[in-house]
Amino acid sequence: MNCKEVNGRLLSYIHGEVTPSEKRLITAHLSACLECTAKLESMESLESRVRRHIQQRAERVAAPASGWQALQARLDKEPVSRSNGFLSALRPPFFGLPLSGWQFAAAAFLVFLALFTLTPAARAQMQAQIQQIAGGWFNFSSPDGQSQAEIGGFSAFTPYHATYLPEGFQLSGMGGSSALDKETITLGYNNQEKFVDLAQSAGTPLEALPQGEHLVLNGSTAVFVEDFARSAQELQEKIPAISIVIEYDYTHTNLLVWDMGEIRLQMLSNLPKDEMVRIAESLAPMQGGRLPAAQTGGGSGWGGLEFLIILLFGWAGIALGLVLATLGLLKRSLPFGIAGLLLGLPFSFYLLATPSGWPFGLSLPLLLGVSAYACSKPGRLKLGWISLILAGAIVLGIFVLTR
Amino acid sequence: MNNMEHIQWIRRSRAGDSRAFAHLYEAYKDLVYRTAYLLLDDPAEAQDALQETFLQAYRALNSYDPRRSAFSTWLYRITVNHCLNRRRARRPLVHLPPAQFESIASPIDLEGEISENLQLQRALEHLSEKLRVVVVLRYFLDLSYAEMAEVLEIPLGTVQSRLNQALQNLRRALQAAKQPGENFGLEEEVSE
Ligand SMILES: [Zn+2]
Repeated sequence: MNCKEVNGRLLSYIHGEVTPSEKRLITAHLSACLECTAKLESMESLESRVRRHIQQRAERVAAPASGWQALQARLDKEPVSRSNGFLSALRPPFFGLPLSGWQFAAAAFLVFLALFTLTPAARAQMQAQIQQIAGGWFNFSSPDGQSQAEIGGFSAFTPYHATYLPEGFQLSGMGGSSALDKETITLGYNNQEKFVDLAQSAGTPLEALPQGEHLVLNGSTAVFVEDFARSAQELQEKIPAISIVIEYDYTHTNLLVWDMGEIRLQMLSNLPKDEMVRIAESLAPMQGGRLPAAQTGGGSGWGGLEFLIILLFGWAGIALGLVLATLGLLKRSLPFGIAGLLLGLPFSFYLLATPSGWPFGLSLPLLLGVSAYACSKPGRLKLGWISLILAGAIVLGIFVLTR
Repeated sequence: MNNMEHIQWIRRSRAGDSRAFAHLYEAYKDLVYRTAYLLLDDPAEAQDALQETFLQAYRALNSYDPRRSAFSTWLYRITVNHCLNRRRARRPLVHLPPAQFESIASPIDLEGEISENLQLQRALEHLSEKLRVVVVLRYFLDLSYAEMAEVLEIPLGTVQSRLNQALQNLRRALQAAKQPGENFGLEEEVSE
């Protein structure tokens, strides 16, 4: 320790409010440094002077003898139930909780917000928005190179697109859903009467391939199911998510299922088998990144803000949040604790928007909140550490699960 | 002070036994009164604060949790909050014009210890409320840092830095007062 550090801790040293190791370091420094020893002595003399003065001043007065009678007269007027008034109810402890009224209001607001985001509609909307902003982006060109498309919000895997399509085919639609445990992306291609629906998903352990004719596709096993559905109605029953287009003929809807690495691919089409296989063999990974703004007809103009949001909603935000919360507990600083909580919120909201991650999205801000609260309450440090460790474990668990 | 006895008194007070509450009052009245006096510098206001503190304590006794804090800590918190509210309410009155400090601060007509005590008292009176409270809690009530943090509901580190700051300000004010012609050192007072 140098002189400056010792100076800052002298008073705590005098009061015995330093850790044993700090005490050893300061004692060692003092035995070798005359300047600091002089400061210690002057501090002690100032302190004892202040103490003596204050004690003397206090002893000159005493509570008036008639005090209890006066107080008792007022106590007698108190209502028997002694229920707290509205304003005193706003002071801590609030309903027995160690919170003041406004802290309670803030907590209630957070809980309300959390409950709101648990409603399916709100979740779906938020999920879509977060993925629009924070998800990965991919782009690809049509087989003839005439047009380009981009797709956002899928980060667990690189999706594939067809580099071969029969004459007249074009991209008709893209869709997808993303969850903590499963991400699916669907590409639709069509011409006037034929369609190809290509669903790719990753995340869950792959189910067994369905019953059907076994083929070899790009060196791995594929299953072809001829006439998987013979009508639009049957197809709809088997795959509720599919959107039926009235112009198409669904009487011979075939299914081709295969895996590429950890991705399960399912192609539905009313094309013949050899065409379906040819398309399947032509699949190539999409390119990462967005298209230049000029090609999509107008940029989104997010720029730096988008980058910031990705940071906040992603691992960077929560990691920094955990670091700040740890510093908050170490330094017992409430602002650090609160900063940790705030940085944890975007990630928590992201989790809330996922089907299986929402319990963690709910508990993470609560744990960080408890840890922040503990920063300002010396008696609650243990509780703070336990909460923070639990929060860290949740984040680590999700990190491992999603890798 | 007997802790078990206190808990008994608290329990009985909650049930509406005012004689039990009288015991609590007797045990703490001087500490509360003197704390209030040191914070308010006015015996009449301190008397008022004593009444208000115990009245508030009586009303809030149901919400006092002995497992969470000592009764004394809880009571001091009510005392300090009341006194600070009181000071804030009268804030415009305590700001004396600077000329008055100088005449009080320059020890021309006063000698020895009386003069020194007066200087110290003036210096204390010109500490900010936050700093003054930690000085009173520490040097009158002899509270530990942890107890002060609980009374003031601030982090431990803040207690430490406020106490450091308070002593630094007192030292500066005393040094400035020793040098005639110089101001009382108020300009140097660093606010947090
Ligand atoms: Zn030194």
